[in-house]
Amino acid sequence: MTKIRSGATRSTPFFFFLLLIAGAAACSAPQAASTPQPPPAPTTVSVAPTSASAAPTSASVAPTAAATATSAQPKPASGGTLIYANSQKARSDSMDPATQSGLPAGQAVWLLYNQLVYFDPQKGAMPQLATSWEVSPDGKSYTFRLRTDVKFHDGTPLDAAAVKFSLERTVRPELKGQQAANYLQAIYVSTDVLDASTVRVNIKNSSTAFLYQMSRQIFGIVSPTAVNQLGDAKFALNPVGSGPYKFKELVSGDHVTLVRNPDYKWGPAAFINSGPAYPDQFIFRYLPEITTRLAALQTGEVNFIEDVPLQDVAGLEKDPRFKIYKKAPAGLSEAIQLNIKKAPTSELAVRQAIEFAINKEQINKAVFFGYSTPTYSLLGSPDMLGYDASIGESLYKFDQAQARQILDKAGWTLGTDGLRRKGDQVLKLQFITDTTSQVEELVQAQLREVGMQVELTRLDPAGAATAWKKGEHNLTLGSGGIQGRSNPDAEIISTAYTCSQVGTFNTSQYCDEAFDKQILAAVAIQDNAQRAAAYKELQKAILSQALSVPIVQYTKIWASTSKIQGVNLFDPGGVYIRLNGAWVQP
Amino acid sequence: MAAEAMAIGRATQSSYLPRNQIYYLLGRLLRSRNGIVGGLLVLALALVALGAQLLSQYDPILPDIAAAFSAPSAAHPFGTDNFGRDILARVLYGARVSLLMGAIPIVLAGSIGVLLGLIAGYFRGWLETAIQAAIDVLLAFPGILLALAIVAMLGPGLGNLMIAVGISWIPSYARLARSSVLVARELSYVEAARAIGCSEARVLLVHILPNIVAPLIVLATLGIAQAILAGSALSFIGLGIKPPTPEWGTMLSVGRNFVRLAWWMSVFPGLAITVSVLAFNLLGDGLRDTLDPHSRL
Repeated sequence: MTKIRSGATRSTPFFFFLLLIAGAAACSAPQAASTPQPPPAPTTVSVAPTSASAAPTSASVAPTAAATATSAQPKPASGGTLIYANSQKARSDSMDPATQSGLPAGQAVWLLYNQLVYFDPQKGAMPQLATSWEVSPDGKSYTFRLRTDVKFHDGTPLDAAAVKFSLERTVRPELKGQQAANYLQAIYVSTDVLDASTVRVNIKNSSTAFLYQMSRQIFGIVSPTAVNQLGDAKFALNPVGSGPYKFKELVSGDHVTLVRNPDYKWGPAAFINSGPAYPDQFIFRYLPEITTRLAALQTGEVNFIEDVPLQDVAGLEKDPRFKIYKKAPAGLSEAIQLNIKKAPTSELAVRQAIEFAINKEQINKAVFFGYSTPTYSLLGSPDMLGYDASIGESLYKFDQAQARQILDKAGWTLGTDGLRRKGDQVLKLQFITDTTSQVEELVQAQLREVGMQVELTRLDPAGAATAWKKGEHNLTLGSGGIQGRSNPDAEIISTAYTCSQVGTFNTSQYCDEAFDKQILAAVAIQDNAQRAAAYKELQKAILSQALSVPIVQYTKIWASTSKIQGVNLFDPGGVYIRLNGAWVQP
Repeated sequence: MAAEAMAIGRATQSSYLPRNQIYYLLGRLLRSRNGIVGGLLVLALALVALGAQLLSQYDPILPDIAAAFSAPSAAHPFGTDNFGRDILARVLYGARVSLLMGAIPIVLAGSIGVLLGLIAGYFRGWLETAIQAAIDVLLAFPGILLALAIVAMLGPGLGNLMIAVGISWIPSYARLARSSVLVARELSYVEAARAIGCSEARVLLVHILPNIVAPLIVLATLGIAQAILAGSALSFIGLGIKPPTPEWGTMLSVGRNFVRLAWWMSVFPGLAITVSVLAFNLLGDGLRDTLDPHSRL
C-alpha cells in the first residue's frame, strides 16, 4: 500500500532565486504509452502442491519492458553498488515489517526480510521460506513446512517459533492502523508450532487473500533474538531479517545503506537469482526533486531512479546510456475519493455531478503525458479478477451538461459569478492532499467549469493523514492511499471501503455493515467466476454511491543506467521494483 | 504659558516637514538615479497589478490543454504553462499577490515593531528589558526560518503567510525604533514638551515619532523587497498561495519541474520576482539618500 505520486513531487527548500536557466534542452514530444503489463492471467490464488519439491523450475520470469534488449545476455558479475533514488519520503523510518510505512522504507524491507511465500501474479503463491503448505478443508488453517537452512543475519535459525513470534507481534493491539495489523488483526486466531519446521496459522474466516498477504513485505519474518535484545523501537532502526541484504546504516531523510548477505541461498527458485545478491552494497537515497533525480542519474551519482520526469521519458528511451522500465501496477486506480460525511459531498447529487464533470482524458494528457490510461474502473489493471470498466462508464460517462443538470435539479443554482449556491451557501469543496501532483489543479479547474469552487490544500504526509482522519476533506486524491498491489484479486476493495478502515485508508468514510459482510463473503468465494461476479457487484455498489472517481490506471516509470542488468519487473510489490537479480556491469 | 507651549509643540511638529521641505526632499529623490528608476518600476508594478485584466486577454486560471507548453510567440509573449495557461497573464495577475505579500507584512511588522520600540526606548526600565529580551530571542532566528516555522504552525494560505512574514520582521523595526527613541528622548524639544506637561502618549506620538520616521521608511521600503522574496520562497516550497491563484513563487516551483522542456515556465516568473525586488531595493536606496539625516549634512 503505497501512495503514488504523479508528475511532480514534494518540494524542498531551495534557493529558488538562483534560477537555473538550463540550456533549454527541449525534449521531444511525448509518445503514446505502451502498456507493459504482463499478459493477463487472473487465475486463482491457489494452494501450491504439497510435495516439498514444488518449487517451479521453469518460471521464465523475463523483464517485460526493459528498453534495450541486449542480444547476448552477459553473465552476472558480483560487486559494485546499486544506488536507487527514491522520490518519496516515508512517513516513518521504521524498517520493521510490522510498522513500516510503505515506500521508500518498504523498499529496503523487501531486501532485508523473507516471507513465507512469494506471490507470482500469474501463478499465485509460490514457495519461499515455506517449501509447501496445506489448507484445511474449511479454509481456516494453513500449515506451512519451512526450509531448515535459513538463518537470520544475526545467526539465529529461522524456525517455526520465529514465524509464530513474527505473526504474534504483528497483531498487538497498539499496532492498529499499521498495514500488517490492518489485515491480520481482523482474521488472526493463533499460531501453533507443530515442530521446529512446521507451523500452523489459524484464521477466523476463509480468505482467498491470505497467502497473498503473507507474501507482502509487511509479513517479513523478523529475528526474535534481535527484537528481544533491542526492543521494538530500536529494532525498527536496526532491522535483522533473513533477506539477501543486511542493514548497515540509516540517515533519516537522506539514505539507507544495505550490504550483501553472502550466506543467502534461500531465494525463491522463481527469481533470476536465488543465491546471494550481486551488488556489494545497495543504497536507497531520498531525492524528492524530480529534476535533481534525473540529473543524478545522468551524472552517475545514482544508477537507478523512480518516477522519471514524464517529459523526459521519450528522450531517455532513445538514449543508449539509459534504460526505461514501465509498469502499471495492479491495485486501485488513481482516483478521487469523495467524503460522504462532510457537506456538500454528503449529498449524492453533488457526488454524482463530480463524477460526470471530471475529464479523465484531459488529465491523462496534461498531467501524465499520455503514459497512463484514463479509466472508469475502480480496479487499476484489466488483469484483475472482477475488472469491468463498463460499470463506471455506463453510469458516469464524462458529460458536463449532465453534471450541470444534476446540480440544477438538486437546487444548486448558478450565480452570476459562475458559482453555484443553495440559499447563500456556495458549493465549495475542500480538496486535501499530500502531493504536489498537478492532477488536483486540473480537477479544480474542471469542477469550476460546472460551478463548484474547490479549495485546494496541500499538506505534508502526516498533516494530511490527520486531516483525513478528522474528515476535514470533501475530496482527496490517491486511491485512499492504496495502490501498487500485484495481487490480481480485487480483495483490495476491502481496504478502501470497509468500516474498520474509516480514518485510515477509507477516506470516503463510507461505513455500512451490510456492505462489509458482502465484501467478506465475496473474498471467501473459492470459485473464480463467482468471485468475479461478486466483485462486480461490489464495484457497482461503490460507484452508484459515487464514493470514488477513478481517473487513470497509473503507469509507474523507472530509469536506470544501461549498466544495470537483471532487473525483474515481476514483483509482488507492484510499485516496488524487484531488484534481487539486479547487478552492476563493471 | 500653556498656549505658548502648544505653539512650540506645533512648531516642532510642523517644522519637520514644511511644504518647501517636501519639495526639497522630492528634489533630492529625483536627483538620485536609483530613486527614480526604483520609483518608476514600483509605479509600473502597481499599475500592472491594478490593470492586469486590461493588459492581457487571457484568463490566468482557465486551462487550455491544447495550447500546453507553447513557446513564447506573438500570441503568448511569455509562452504557456503545462495547462496551456498564458504565462504573461499569470505573471501580470501574480503582481497583485506579490505586492500584497510585500506590503501587508511590512505594515503589520512596522506598526507592531515601532510601537514596541517606542515603548521600550521611551519608558526604559523593566519594560525595556522585557521587550528587548523578547526581541533578542526573535532576532536569534533567521527571519525566513522564523516565518517558515510560523507558517508551518498556522497552515498554508495567503493570510497566514503574510502574518508569518510580518511577525518575522517585527524585531528589526522594534530595534531601529528603540535606538532612535533613545537618541530623541534626550533632545531638548522632547524635554520642552515634557516640561510643559504634555502627556506621555502625546510626547511619543506627536513629538518623537515624526522625528524618527525617516530611517523607518527606508527600512520599510527595503523590507517590502525582502517580504516579496520571503513570500515567494515560502510559496515555492508549497506553504503559500493555494492554487489556482497565480503567484510567482508557485509558478517558479511548478516550472522548475519542466525546465528542460519549457524554460519559459520558470524564467519569466523568476524575472518578475527579480525585477520587483530590485525596484523596491532601488527605491529604498534612493529614499535613504534623501531621508538619512547624516547624508543631508
